[in-house]
Amino acid sequence: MDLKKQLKEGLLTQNPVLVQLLGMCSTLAITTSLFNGLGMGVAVTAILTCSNIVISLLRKVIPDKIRIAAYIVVIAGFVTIVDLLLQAYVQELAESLGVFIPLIVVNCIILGRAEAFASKNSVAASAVDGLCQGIGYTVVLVVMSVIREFLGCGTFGAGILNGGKGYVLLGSQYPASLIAQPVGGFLTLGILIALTQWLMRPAKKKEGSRDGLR
Amino acid sequence: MSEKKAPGARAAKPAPKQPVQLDPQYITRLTVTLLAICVVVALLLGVTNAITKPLIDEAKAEKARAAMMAVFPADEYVPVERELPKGISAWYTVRHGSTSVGWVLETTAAGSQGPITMMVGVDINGEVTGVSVISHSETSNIGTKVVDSQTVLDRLIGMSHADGEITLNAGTNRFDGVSGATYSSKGVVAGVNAALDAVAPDVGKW
Repeated sequence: MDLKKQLKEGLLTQNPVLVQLLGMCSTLAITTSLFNGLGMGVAVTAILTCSNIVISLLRKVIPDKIRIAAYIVVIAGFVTIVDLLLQAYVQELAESLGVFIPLIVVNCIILGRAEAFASKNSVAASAVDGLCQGIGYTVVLVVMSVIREFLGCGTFGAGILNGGKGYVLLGSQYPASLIAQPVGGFLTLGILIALTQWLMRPAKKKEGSRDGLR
Repeated sequence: MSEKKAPGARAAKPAPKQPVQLDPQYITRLTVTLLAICVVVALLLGVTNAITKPLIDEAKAEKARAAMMAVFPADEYVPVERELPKGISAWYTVRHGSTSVGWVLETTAAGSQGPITMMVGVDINGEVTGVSVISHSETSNIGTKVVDSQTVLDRLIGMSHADGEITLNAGTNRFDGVSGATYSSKGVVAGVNAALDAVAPDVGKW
């Protein structure tokens, strides 16, 4: 178990969004404000870590033929629990994320990690993997949210900071609402992916191999 | 050659196609495992639901009450006991002490991106006392210029069906929407029209 390596993979070399391109739907749809991005990221990280732990615990009990069904039941259970908890304790977030909370069930990152990692590794390693991948997902969501909220609405942290009003950085005539729409999501994501690839390039050359890709 | 064999040998490792195992013991194991997982998950969900349901219900009721207070402040809201017309999901009579002074209706109409649910207050003369949007999925910065803007929604106050249906940007009983957000404006107007239609038979009868 190599914590540093797993964290680096989650954040950069195996980032679920920027490199594996998983969970695109929620990434594009909800990154319109920091509040949404952070909330979704934390919810997914919690569910991913919990489901990774449980699936890793059960990996020897679950027969191979029904593993996908079993994983989905476990994941759906956690998602519903988080959904109910959000509705009960953080109504604003539950409202603004809406249908995207139940849709975490079909978020490929979670089933992907269950199948690719948790079903083959120890409980501790799976927990760390869930956490690292979740953090990688959250960081991307937060970055995208901040960019899109600033360019699309001209605010920063609307819904959480400054007593829920956020900080207005641009006058109402400047924001390009295009960026806050799905089109802007694709544009932002594309630019971010290109930027990560560019950033990772020198590192690859130095290592002289593609070790990053297990 | 032997080196080249290695990848081939690896590829062959996943077992060749086997006939489906119909060993009853194996089938039982599959069923029991899946059933056990489902039971445990269901149990956990039941517990969570039992804990959160009162809180969720309370929050919903509180929100509905706040929306009613916003469109028609009153002492008491009494549910109307009759079959609700299409598009109306809740209907209350508004009371000040023991006198009924109007109605509050929750209506849903199609917006641009999905349904818009709103609370509409109507007084005894059939005039709108207020409109408040409860939930919507309109586009941020376009449709929200209608549904999230109380200034725009407040322009509906005082409108009635005395001169026929309210129409968007046209006619004598005209509501000026927000340009660029025509479908969201249409949705709000449709919701208000539905509320006014529903109370029409009772207007001025008390």
